[in-house]
Amino acid sequence: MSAALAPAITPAPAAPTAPGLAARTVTLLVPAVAVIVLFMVVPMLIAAGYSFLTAGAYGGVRLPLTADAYVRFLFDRDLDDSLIFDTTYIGIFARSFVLAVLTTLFCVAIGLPLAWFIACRERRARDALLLAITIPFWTNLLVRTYCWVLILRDQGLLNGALQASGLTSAPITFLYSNEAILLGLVYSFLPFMVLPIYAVVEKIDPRLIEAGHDLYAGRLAVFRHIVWPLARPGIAAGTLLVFVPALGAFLAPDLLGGGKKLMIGSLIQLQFTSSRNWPFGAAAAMILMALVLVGLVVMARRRGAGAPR
Amino acid sequence: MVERSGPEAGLSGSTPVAAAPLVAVDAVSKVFAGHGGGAETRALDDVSLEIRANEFFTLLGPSGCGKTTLLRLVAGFEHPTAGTIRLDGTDILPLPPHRRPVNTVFQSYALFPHLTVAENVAFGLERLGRPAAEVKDRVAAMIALVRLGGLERRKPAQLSGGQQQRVAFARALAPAPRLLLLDEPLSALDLKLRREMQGELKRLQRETGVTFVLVTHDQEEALAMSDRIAVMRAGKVLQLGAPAEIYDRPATRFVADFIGEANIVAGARVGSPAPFVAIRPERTTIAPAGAAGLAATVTAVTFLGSDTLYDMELAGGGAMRARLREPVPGLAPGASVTAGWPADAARPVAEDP
Ligand SMILES: Nc1ncnc2c1ncn2[C@@H]1O[C@H](COP(=O)(O)OP(=O)(O)OP(=O)(O)O)[C@@H](O)[C@H]1O
Ligand SMILES: [Mg+2]
Repeated sequence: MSAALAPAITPAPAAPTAPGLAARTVTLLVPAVAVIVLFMVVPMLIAAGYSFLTAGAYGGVRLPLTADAYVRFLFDRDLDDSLIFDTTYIGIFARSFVLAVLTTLFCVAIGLPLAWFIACRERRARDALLLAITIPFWTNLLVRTYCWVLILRDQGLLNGALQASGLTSAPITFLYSNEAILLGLVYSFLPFMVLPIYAVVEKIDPRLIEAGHDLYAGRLAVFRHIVWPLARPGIAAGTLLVFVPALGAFLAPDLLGGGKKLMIGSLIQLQFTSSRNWPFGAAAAMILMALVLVGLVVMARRRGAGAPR
Repeated sequence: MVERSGPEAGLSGSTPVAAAPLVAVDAVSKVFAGHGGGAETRALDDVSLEIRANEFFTLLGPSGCGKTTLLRLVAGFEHPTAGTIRLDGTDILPLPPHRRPVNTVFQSYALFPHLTVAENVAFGLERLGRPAAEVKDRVAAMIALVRLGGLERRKPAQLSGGQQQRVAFARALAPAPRLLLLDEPLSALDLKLRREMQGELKRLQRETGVTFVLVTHDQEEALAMSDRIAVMRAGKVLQLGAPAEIYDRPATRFVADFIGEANIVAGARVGSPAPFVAIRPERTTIAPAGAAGLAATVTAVTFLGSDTLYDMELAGGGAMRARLREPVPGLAPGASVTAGWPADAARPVAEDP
């Protein structure tokens, strides 16, 4: 009996003292911090390091340290080794930026009404539609983007249909244009806009909509004055999820732009493959990241200022 | 065009009562289809009633009797299965909610969380396309009317329940609707605030002259505030009349029991031709056993301060309660007595439909 009682009479562990508590907090934080360091900080440091090295002849990097990759981004080296301002890469960044902005705008324009439409359905229809939105994720993006090539090319489905219906006599060239890239980008990223918006609008109290109708707002006015402002947090989240990856996308520009209309993503990818200029690829990636971070900070500032106190 | 033709109810006095009713609900039924093979619900069953201009009209009835459904039909959120609803003589059923000159105060207030108090109140006026200057004046007048001055720039989340309530009133009254529908607007407030807001509501109705249709299941609230009351049960209107009329001359057994308290006795037992008679406990008397009346046994005595309640069991079955000002000395549970009442206290009532 005394053995059985033994655990009961051992003193209860003392309440954690302040230093003990701090130690425990640190211990609990270790896994999360380790994951972030291992999967985010280390790769970024490696990329940053590579961007200051010299390109190896067959890819890879070697010493000495140099800022050449960054210089090359803005300047071309003339025959006499003098630097001439060169807008090629700035142009690529600019086109990427414009395409990413357009992609985001189209995704909002399609995604917001779509999310609202789904949220207004009956329970079962809603579940089915949401499933339909996520179905594309089950297939590889490369395969899906290539499908657009099959649809859009000169002998593709679209031209076939147009000619069969007698609307056109000769094939129209859809592929290898900025529009084709845009189409591919909107197609790839639309679910990332619809889902966060849906998550927000689905929670809008239906009585607010009724109150809107009661106060002389038709469907459009309800959408504009009630749904839109209440959906804004979802739109902000969706914008982030669409704009950032669209800026760095390389599949759509590669396949639908024919590799001629370069975007930042394809530029970076090229440096690590056929161009074998790792430092320049790394530098372009660092510049892209810096731009995105600046954009995010500005956005967060503006939202912080706009929020009610 | 109905939405713009509503006369400004203004803040001035009341308009003379028109002979024609403002709202005419005619033989309206509403059947909800059952979900997933469930039975259908007949929420309203052949309801007809008229609401007069400028009156404070109350729909009173127990939970599930169809009060909210009737309001939603008038507002336009639901469509009746049968019947017509006319406003100022015009059939409003073809009109969507945003074209009906009718505003609603929702039970949960349903204030727009992203708009300030002033923006909430301005919402209806702006959708009607009123000029900015007029909107501004009207919003200021409404905020003053509900006594929320100084809180114009707050968001709903920064207001107390009672203040949100006032915003909801101001928002619904701002467009000067022909009809204001209120679905249990006070039920979320605590008792003290509730009594206070009852007075406020009465004042708002008086000062704006707008016709109010209030839904409640609180009979005290209904009696205290209404010009006329429609007592509903299971989708039907059992009785419609002024509070005193409904209290004094209940039409059916249910009305007698639901409005105040009533002892219901089969007519045959007391020599009345009606199916039942209803006697208010405060008019019930207690006499020694053997007197004229119904033989009974006292089952409980409850002292309430001003009154004393005597619960009795009738010899022939059934219960009866007397509420006496002066307690009967020495009367304890178990005592044999006779329950009686003055002749004019027994009201004949019909069986419920
Ligand atoms: N959308 C609906 N679908 C199916 N049945 C409904 C619907 N709305 C109401 N009902 C049913 O109609 C009946 C009347 O409902 P209603 O909401 O009008 O009652 P109420 O008198 O307002 O009750 P309470 O005092 O509880 O609010 C109830 O039986 C209810 O279940
Ligand atoms: Mg209700």
